[in-house]
Amino acid sequence: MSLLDAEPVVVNAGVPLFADALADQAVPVTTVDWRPPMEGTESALARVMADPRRPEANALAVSRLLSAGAELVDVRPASEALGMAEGTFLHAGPPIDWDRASGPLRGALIGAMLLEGLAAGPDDAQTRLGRGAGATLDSCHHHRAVGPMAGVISPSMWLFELRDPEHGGTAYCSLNEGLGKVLRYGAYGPEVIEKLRWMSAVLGPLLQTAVRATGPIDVKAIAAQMLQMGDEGHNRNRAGTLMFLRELLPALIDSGAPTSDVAEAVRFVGANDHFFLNLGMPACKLATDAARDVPGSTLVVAMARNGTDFGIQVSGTGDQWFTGPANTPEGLYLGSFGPDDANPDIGDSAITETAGIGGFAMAAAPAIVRFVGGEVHDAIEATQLMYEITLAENPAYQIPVLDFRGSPTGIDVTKVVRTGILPHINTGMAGKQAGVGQVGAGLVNPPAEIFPAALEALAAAAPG
Amino acid sequence: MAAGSTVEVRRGAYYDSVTLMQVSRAVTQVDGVQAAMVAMGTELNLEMLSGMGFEPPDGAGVNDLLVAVRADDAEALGRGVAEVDAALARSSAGGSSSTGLGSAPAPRTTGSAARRSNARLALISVPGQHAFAEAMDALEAGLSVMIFSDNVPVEQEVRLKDEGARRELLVMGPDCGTAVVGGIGLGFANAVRPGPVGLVAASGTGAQQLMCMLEQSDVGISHCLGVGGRDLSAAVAGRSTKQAMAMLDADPATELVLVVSKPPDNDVAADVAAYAQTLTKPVILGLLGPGQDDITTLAHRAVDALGRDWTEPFSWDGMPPPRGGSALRGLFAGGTLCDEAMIIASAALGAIHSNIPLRPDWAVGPDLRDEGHLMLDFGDDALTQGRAHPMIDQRSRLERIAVEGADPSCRVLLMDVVLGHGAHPDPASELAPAIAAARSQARETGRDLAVVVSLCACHDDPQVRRTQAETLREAGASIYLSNAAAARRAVELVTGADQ
Amino acid sequence: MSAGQPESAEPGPAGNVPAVADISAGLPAAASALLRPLLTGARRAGRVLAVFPTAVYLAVEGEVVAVVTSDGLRLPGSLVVAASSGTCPFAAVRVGDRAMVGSGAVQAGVLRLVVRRWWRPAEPVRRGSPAQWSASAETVGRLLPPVPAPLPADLVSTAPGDLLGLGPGLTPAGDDVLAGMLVTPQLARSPELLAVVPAAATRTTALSATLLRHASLGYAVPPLVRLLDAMSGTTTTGIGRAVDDLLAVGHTSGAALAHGVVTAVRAGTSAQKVA
Repeated sequence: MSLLDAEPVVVNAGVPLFADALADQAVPVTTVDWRPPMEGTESALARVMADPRRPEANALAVSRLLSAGAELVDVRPASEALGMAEGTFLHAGPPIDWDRASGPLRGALIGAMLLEGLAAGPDDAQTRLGRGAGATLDSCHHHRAVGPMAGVISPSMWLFELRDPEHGGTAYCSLNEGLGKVLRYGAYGPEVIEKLRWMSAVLGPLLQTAVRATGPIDVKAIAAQMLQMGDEGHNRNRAGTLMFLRELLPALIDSGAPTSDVAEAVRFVGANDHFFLNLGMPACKLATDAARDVPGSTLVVAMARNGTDFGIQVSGTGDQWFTGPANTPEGLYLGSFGPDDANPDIGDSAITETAGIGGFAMAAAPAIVRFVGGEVHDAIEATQLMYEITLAENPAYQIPVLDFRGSPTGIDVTKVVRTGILPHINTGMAGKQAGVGQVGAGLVNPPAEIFPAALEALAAAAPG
Repeated sequence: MAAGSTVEVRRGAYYDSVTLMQVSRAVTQVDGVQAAMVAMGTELNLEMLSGMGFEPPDGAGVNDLLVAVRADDAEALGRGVAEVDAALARSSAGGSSSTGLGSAPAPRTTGSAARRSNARLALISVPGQHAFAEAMDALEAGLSVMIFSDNVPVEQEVRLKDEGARRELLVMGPDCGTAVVGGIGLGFANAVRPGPVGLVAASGTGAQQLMCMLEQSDVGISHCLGVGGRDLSAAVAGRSTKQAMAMLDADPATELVLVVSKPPDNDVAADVAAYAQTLTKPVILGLLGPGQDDITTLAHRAVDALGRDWTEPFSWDGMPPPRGGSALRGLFAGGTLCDEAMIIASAALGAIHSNIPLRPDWAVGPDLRDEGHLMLDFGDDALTQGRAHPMIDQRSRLERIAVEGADPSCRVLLMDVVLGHGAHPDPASELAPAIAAARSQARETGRDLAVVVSLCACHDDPQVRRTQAETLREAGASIYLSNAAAARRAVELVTGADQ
Repeated sequence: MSAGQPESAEPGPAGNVPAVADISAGLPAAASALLRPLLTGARRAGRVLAVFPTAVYLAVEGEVVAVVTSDGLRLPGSLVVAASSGTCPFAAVRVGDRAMVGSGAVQAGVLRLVVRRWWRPAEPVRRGSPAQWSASAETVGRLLPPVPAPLPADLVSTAPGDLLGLGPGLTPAGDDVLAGMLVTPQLARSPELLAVVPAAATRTTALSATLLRHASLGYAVPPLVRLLDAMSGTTTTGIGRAVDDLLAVGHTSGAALAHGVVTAVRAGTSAQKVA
């Protein structure tokens, strides 16, 4: 239809006077609440916006993200699933060495050394890690894996193995240890190591038997349902956990394992509201990995933090990380902990927001606004604001209070830079000191400067 | 009582220039406030600040807000600064007043706004360096675009126009001040009536003048599609002009296509002329410039081509001739109107100095002053950076009217007053007192200053043309609806004998 | 400019016709150019005839003026406001409220509108070969529901005068058929058909009489014009889609209008009087 076939309905961006003049002519007009883009980005922004590949590249990347499936196909030790050799450790976030590692990451690495029997005690572990002798660190994301909080994976830990039947991708994540003093929050006391040993000896093999007996479990379908039940898939996973347990229960009971082991496993999973997080995360990783490496695409395919740096990766710039100092979350603290006790943002769990759930689906989980002392309308507005920086709405992940509108999905670097709106991430808070564990939960944003940095790289890669 | 003064820099607080102008005005009206300026920290505004006697702050950037207030005493200063905050708060109220379950936050990008409405057109007037992203966003959302912003690089213009053509969407601008689509005025546009003429305009005020002249002969407009002043340059090569011509050729409401442009590139002009031959409807190419038809004559040709009767545009003169002084001074808000007046005047008077000179050697210096004939375009990019257009904010012209009143060399003052949507709601209320004061000042030095107003207006304009004309005439101005006729009358008065 | 397009004489700035743009407060409205004489003339009194979410109809001296929302059906003689029906701009208007029209403004009960802009009502492009029109009319005919009761099934051999005012409602179906016939190029200048228009003033509703008068000048609601333009090949819009859009108009009005078009093409073809 040509512009001249009917009276135009107008969008006004800029001088409000012109919108007033249109309203005064009885013309329907929608006004953009326009503000200047992040400072110093004009030329890179123009170059990226002019890149003729961008619209189709983003359409392709986002369609791959949306169409990706996620099935739990196996549960295996990391040594077997990822071929991890003794002394290798994966961690959350962009790559980092021991010297720059934060307290909780150091604590988790110490714990993992102890778990693997590579150190006589915490001090010995710390010395060895400090020397770099017999311990190699790398980012989970470099191995198709994700881990919550410190995200440390060592060879003897068992992993969920998820497959994307649509695009053929595979993703891994550790088994969730529950709340309180746990390795992922940097705790490494004897009770932490003991629980990890039980998970490797009893829980992992039991889950393996049950999953293999049940056949592939559609994790994406559970995630879609949990959003209808008050979970957002990052800080609230209660419904998802119970639905997963329901899927697995018959095979667990029928596994032939000692009933005391089955009972302990079911008690452990059922009492851990976050057990499903470690399934939702690799499901999201499958979706964003499917969207990787589309030349010209400005879609963010990873947001991850190691407790020191916050990093993003973008579809059009391959494996390059754009990093900045991680912010400290704002929220509520457990017990007597306060802001001074909290470590900066940590974990690969922002993969949920990258794929359009978690903080982006806040409106689906009004219950968790209590974490930040907000009200229900804050949650709804938070989700609605994310539509301003995303490329699509995920028809699989629907938000009931928004009339079942799809969750805002696929962060566009150009939109973040243009609007200055930063992705909204729900997160747990780890104690600053190694060994303390969780101190609270709340909300956090990435450091703003990583988006202009990514934009510069996209501009450099643009033709012409 | 001791005077108080403050200059404050607020980092990263962005507001558009029109809002800030309104804020400045509100603060100036506070009792006891002598002077106030609330503006973004552009170079021009910093200069203006020191011109107003304030100490310009160090390190203010273009994204920082300058707040400068001078008042009779500390108490008045406090009231003034409080009014700045109150007025800024008023300007941003509305979007944040959500209740209950929470209404959707206001759209922050053009694409987001487009997805929330069934819009077909985006009007973009953000600062020029940011216009490209919004315009591209609009095109990707399936909207045609009018870009009011100026200072957009030409390669961005070409890229946008190619993208528009690929998506069968029209890109009007950059630097497109005027458009009428389906009777709706966009940017600065007079309230025209529906009719048979479809305009393609590479000149905003040129198009406005043309539409007003057609209305005088009771000929209405189907659409006026602006293309931006650079469209017929060699670099842009008439991309939007040809696309707009094809759209009007296919439009059932259009009977005659009229193209109006400032002097185009020769090759592009030939190309557009050849393209006109391929259309099914009659086309008149109105290429303005020395030796070409003026806009009024162009309108006459269009009326003839439609077989209608031409009505001479109205004028309201009868003022006594001037006494003393020798120079013609033109103060324009519309660039094309200024151009047209200079072409007409220079034929009789020779050199006309200007900030948009007809010949490079007629360029006026940065002080914008000259002893001889001078015409200034206050709407030129160089004079509007960081400020609202003189059709909205008349202060620069008001100041200059006072200067000319006091200048013994000034014999005749020629100025345009553009009415219509988007323009100042009541320009005569500010101009008439300034004109009266200038004439009275001239009389004190033994002169009679003649003032000729070119009133670019349609009958239905919201400012009410008749009231505007009456107010200006009461201040002693002669009124011409035809800009060309106004220029000719001004020349007559300059060269005529003293009273 | 087409015939029937009213344009008032232009007074100079010194003229004494009141300014159209009344600057007193009111909801801005865009008015059809057909209403210009009525809206710019002296104030006339009237009544609110009907109120719907998308439209208010006013009766003023035998003529019906429609006020419609931006998502409402744009009758050829209507004023359009920017608001959509979702914001309920007519919520406070009641049937029987006093109305006042003139001097550039419209008052309907508590609702006050100020005319800010004029638009040209839709009219079909007159083109297309007789063969094309016949083929298109048969396509349309197959897509239509039966002729709504109480109209006779054989419309072609029914005298236009027998259709006038036939049927219930604000716009009786018989009048809709006549309006469809009047704007179809084949019968647009048919003397027999045009002869019924003056009689409408006394033999049918005021709204129908107004619509028939506008139809006799060639103007129709946009969905009907889109159908006619699709049938003549002026636009590339599919006839099927255009029919669907038209059938969505009113309860049976859309169907009756479409039957009028088909009847006009058939009658025109059989009389060998093709435009």
